[in-house]
Amino acid sequence: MFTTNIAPRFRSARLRTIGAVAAVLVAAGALQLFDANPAASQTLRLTAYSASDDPGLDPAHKAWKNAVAVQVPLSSQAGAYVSGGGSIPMVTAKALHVDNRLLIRVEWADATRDESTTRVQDFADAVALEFPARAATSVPAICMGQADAGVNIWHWRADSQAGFKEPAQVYAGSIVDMYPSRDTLFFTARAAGNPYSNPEAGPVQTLVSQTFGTLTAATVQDVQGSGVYKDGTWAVVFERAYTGADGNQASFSDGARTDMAFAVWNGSEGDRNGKKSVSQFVQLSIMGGDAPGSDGANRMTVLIAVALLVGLSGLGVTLATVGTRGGKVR
Amino acid sequence: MVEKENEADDPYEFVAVRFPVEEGVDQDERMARVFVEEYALLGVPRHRILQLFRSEHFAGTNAIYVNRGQAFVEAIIADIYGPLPQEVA
Amino acid sequence: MAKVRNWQLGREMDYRYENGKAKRQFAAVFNINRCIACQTCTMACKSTWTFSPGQELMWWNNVETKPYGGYPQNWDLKVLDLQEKANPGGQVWNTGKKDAKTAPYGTFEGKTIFETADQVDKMATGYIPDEADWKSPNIYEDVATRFPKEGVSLPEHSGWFFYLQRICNHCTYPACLAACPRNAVYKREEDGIVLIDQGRCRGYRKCVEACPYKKSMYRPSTRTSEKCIGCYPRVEGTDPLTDGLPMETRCMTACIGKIRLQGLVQVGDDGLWIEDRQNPLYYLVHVAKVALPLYPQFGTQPNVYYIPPRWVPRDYLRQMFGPGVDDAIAAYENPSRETLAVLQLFRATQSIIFSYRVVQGPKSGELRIGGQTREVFDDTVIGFDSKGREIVRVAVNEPVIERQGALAFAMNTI
Repeated sequence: MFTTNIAPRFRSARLRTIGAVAAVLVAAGALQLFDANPAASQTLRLTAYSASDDPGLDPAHKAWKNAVAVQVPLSSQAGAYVSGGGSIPMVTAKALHVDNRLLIRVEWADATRDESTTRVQDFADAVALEFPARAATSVPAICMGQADAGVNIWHWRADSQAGFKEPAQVYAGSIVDMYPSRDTLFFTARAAGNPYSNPEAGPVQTLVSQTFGTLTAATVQDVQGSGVYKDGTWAVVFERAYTGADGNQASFSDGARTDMAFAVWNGSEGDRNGKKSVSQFVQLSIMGGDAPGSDGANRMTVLIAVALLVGLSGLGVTLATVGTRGGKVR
Repeated sequence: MVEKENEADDPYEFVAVRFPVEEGVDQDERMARVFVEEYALLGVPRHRILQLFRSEHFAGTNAIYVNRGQAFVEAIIADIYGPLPQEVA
Repeated sequence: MAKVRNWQLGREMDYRYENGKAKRQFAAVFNINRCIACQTCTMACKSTWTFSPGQELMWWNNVETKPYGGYPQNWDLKVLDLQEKANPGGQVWNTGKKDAKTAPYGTFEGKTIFETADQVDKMATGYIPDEADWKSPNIYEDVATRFPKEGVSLPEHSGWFFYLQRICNHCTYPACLAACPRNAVYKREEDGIVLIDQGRCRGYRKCVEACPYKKSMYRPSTRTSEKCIGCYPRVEGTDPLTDGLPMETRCMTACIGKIRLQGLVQVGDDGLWIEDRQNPLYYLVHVAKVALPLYPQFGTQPNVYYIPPRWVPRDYLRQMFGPGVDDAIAAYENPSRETLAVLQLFRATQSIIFSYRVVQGPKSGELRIGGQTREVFDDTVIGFDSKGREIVRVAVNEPVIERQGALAFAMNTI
């Protein structure tokens, strides 16, 4: 079909080859500008640009204004271990880096602020980020990894942030005669080194997993985080140095790309463990430069756009010229 | 002191156990017999078992003793423990 | 899902895991006829293990009054109700065919808590009791059923109550273990005691939801769940008191009424008890058949057995202990010489009795009970430790000592 509309001279192999190469170069230029990975063209992309100001763990810091937001849809966990959940439909993610530290901010709407796990029937709001572990040779199974491709999880919990409360603080009328000992030994899980039970541990746990049921605390808990609840919305910032202190963790660098996934738990729905709202893999890209909206990035965009325009125009003119020279439709 | 009315359906109310008088069945005899059997199984010696009925501290069994007499109670004891050696002819 | 053998149900059943290796199984017999609800067992456990912050509502051992009481409130009614709703009219026993070893109570034709669960989201049918349900462990203590206006008559009162003493049953097929997605609950090979790994637990409370007996309990001060540990250091024999010998748990040894006997029975890898004729627990459960499991129809194969209370209506007892109730009560009310002897081993020593022997004595008398002649013998029962050494010797007829003189009146009530 194509060949009947083009002049006989253009059907020569040499010119067809030149045309094909030109088309590929144009496509490559366009992809470079938009930084898209063709293989992951169906996935969302979260880009971490350099932050001009260090926002620290404050989700409301103005440095986040320039960061590009990505809306990540969530659904209940499907597949091998269906557990219900899915009450949070979307999380908005942003990423920055500063001084070789990666910062990721997640925000989602949740009508109820669930940060107490004092009562047996209460579960807490939480959010987690999942990355392939450094040793992963292939893309891990999104549900907690697989034997040859573990995952590294950063897990923020509202109850860990709110802290433990004594019965006397929670129940005004409660009476306790005495506790024979307050030694850590008798807070059995604390003495066993359980990070979730440790009041010194902070709101974020650094975890590794290599399939269902193997989730374990990383040997070094180096991810920091903090969450703020305002007007029916949680905003949580995670922060960690590019290189994890524990060898089995994801590591980042300027220019790196990795997959990542999000999970959100809504405490008032009884979410915990597999009962959560989870995303598909999203691509995280760490760009050396500043976020768009700052001058440097714009200039580069304009230059690439101009180059493409010139190149495409040239190609178009060439085709038109070649096509009309002695062309006659058979 | 606050006076509270008895509430018939309150499960915490003390209730008395009343024994109906069935036709032809001696409830006193049945009750006394159960007591003697249970205490005999516990190993209470024969010569002490009458005290269960004679002592005013045990109101239920004492009521049987008062109403029906010592001979009545001793007959039940003899039936369960067997006759005393000196009674065997 | 695997198929495992549940001898209490007389059939195979579904369970999440295959049988593991087993050497011995923690087991106990509680004689409900003798319990006075002094709660010494409860306080012994509390003062040993659950006296710290976050454990205020935890009673790993509890004694509740039936029928109205329960800790947590109405736990058994709620689980029975969930099961009935999942299989309406189907939760029945077939007592037509029994087998002494593999189906002593007949066959349970209903569904276990594993078989009514979807095995995807839930491994066992259950519910999480609210915090309020755990706050009143003694609710309705000593409250009997209604006494009718016309009064009551013997032998069976229509007004009744009894005490149900409960600990973790260290089940052969624990629901808590099946429910935990992280394998934080495990069952020990050496004694079958079920434990929650406090390092691995992340407070999902699936074990709390799944355990039909509600003996897995959440602790807010560590955000993990805890449960009865079977006093495993004592069972291992590490307490200096018994010089390396396995010892019974705190709740067992503290029992003033001598209603409890605990031991380590031999079990095969298939969950069936291996024949061990001279083991007192084996005798009571499998030979005399005087002790029955608690709510066997849940399907977890619990390892704490009960001698049912004689005075309670039978249909209530059959729902609670299965169809073996009538035979068990008959065997208890008219005990054989051997049964009477084994019952004297209860609380004779703190060390676990692994075997016993009855030394028969002369006949010491006769009683007429219920119109029948009962012969009384002066037997002696001897208990042996794990190495076959004698550790206790008890006369079946307790010697009667009479104090004389001024003390006689004060000390002897009758």
